[in-house]
Amino acid sequence: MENLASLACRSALAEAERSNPAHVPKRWFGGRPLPFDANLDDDAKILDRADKVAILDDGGFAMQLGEVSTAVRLGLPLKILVIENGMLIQIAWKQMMFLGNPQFGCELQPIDFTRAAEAMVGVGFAVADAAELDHVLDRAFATEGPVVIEATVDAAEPMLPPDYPDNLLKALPETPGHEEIAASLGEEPARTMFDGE
Amino acid sequence: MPTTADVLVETLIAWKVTTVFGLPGDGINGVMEALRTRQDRIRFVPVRHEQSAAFMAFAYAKWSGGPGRI
Repeated sequence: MENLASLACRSALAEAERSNPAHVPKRWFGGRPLPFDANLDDDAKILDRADKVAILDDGGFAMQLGEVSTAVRLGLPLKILVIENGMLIQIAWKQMMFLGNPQFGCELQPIDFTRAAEAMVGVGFAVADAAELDHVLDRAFATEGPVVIEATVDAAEPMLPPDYPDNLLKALPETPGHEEIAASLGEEPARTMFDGE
Repeated sequence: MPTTADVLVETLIAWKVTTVFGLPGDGINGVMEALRTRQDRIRFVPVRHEQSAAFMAFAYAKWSGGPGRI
């Protein structure tokens, strides 16, 4: 079954494509909060009325959280989808999987991004259940101006394909929360990837 | 055989550095492991942005008596 993070990203991009097919995302940016489909050489495209979608995780979003108020001040039609897992999750998986090291220093103090958005934007949306996603995104994209959508996902679920089993098995015992990660590796599609090597 | 990261963190400890501010990332994950395995001797304070880590280290040094304690 497709997880909420993947479903949320795909659905948000589909919404953006409906809004303006000419601005379909061309590339991924890793880690930092950049407008997802921004053609930065052309400011006019940023400032036009078509919805722009930024998809990022809580670590990157919190780095420049205050700039949501800049989007409000400029009245930008920016829809910000925050994949919230309470971890620098890509780094955590790189530590465990590529290096075989226990996860260290990647946990994030939780932030209620919906309330932070309410403080700056006036409205924020939260979703933790894939069944509610379409409804929440419809409401978010029907809202004028900047919008923050917080999608809470499972931090124990592999963020990258778990296809370095030797490293991962070496890293897990000393990794905080390793029981939950081990359990998630037993579920599809992770199980097939993990056993495939 | 010690890694470069091991040598780096051991050097910081030898210089009486007790606290390091930062956040993990691709290129520094080796250093993170060197810090993890020495948690009893040097403290890593994770922050939300590198800029904050620099300010914190600067303030920590000013109030604790010198750059040897950044």
